[in-house]
Amino acid sequence: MMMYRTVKNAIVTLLDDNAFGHYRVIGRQRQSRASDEIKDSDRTVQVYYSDGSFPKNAGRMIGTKSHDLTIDIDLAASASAQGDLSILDSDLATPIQKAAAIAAIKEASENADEKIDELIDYVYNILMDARNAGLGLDNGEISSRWIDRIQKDTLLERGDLIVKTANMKYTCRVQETVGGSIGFEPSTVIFDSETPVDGASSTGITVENDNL
Amino acid sequence: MIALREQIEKDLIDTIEGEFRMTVELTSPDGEKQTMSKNNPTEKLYGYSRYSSLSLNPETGEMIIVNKPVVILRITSLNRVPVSGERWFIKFATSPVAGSPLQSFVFTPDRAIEHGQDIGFIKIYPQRIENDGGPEPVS
Repeated sequence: MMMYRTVKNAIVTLLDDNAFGHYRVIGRQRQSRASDEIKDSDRTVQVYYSDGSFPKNAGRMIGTKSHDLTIDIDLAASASAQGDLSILDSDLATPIQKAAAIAAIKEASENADEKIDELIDYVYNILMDARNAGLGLDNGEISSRWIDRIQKDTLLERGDLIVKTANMKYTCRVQETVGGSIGFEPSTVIFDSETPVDGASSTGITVENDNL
Repeated sequence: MIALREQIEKDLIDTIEGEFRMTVELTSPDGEKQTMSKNNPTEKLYGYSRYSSLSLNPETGEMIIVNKPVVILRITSLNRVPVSGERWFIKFATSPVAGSPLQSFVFTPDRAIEHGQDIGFIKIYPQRIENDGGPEPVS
């Protein structure tokens, strides 16, 4: 498995382990989601590999290849307005009380903006925590990890819930090992170092291939 | 020959307050609640509402499905017509099944992309509201 898949899985695991109910992690890209679904779980985080470059001057013709990769992290939160329904729904409340309750309603856009800001805060701090620099992988498996950019998108204005999304770009460098074509496993090579008793081989070593 | 506006009013009675009508309760920014029609004070305030219209978000590239409730009211049935910048409280059923409970929403007429005041009717795009106060009264 190439390292970028390992890194993506490591980020999913890391964010999931540190969610503590604040958000839900989805380890794939652009699945349709209902705003109700986001609302019930409060916030969602999608993690997927989106871009990779292989700098030739940093790589080698043989051996491992340097891979500068970008993992996109999409964040989404949805919110409704908030108000005092004990007054607004009441038949006993006076018009003055109701007018005050209507004026005090906190708009959905404000709630959604706060929720997405909180989510950015959580995810950024988890990923950039020095203890998580290696994403839980072995030492030296990834390097130069960084969050290059955070982008907040516009509000989705229509609908009974306001949806706010944001995107984070996580970059790092890994070394890819080329394993060969999938499905064409090379034949197993056996080194038989037993010295032949007949003395016919001058090297004392015979090599045989058990798949032939 | 009937005047065009009169004809429109008759059509609105059929389309908005006819067989597909649904009960609506409106509370203005002044706190005044309207449950009966201004045209016929012995009748409830009715409107046409649609809730389960689904669409994808083209704005952000994010594939999110959102319920888009729409309520259409006949202007002459209203004690006061919502105008730009005002915040109103509205209750209506999100299901056409008889006896469905009324759900709470808020709206501001000019907040929607398609803010609509057409000939004789007003189109409302409400947003859901959650309680952050005391216990909700049982309706």
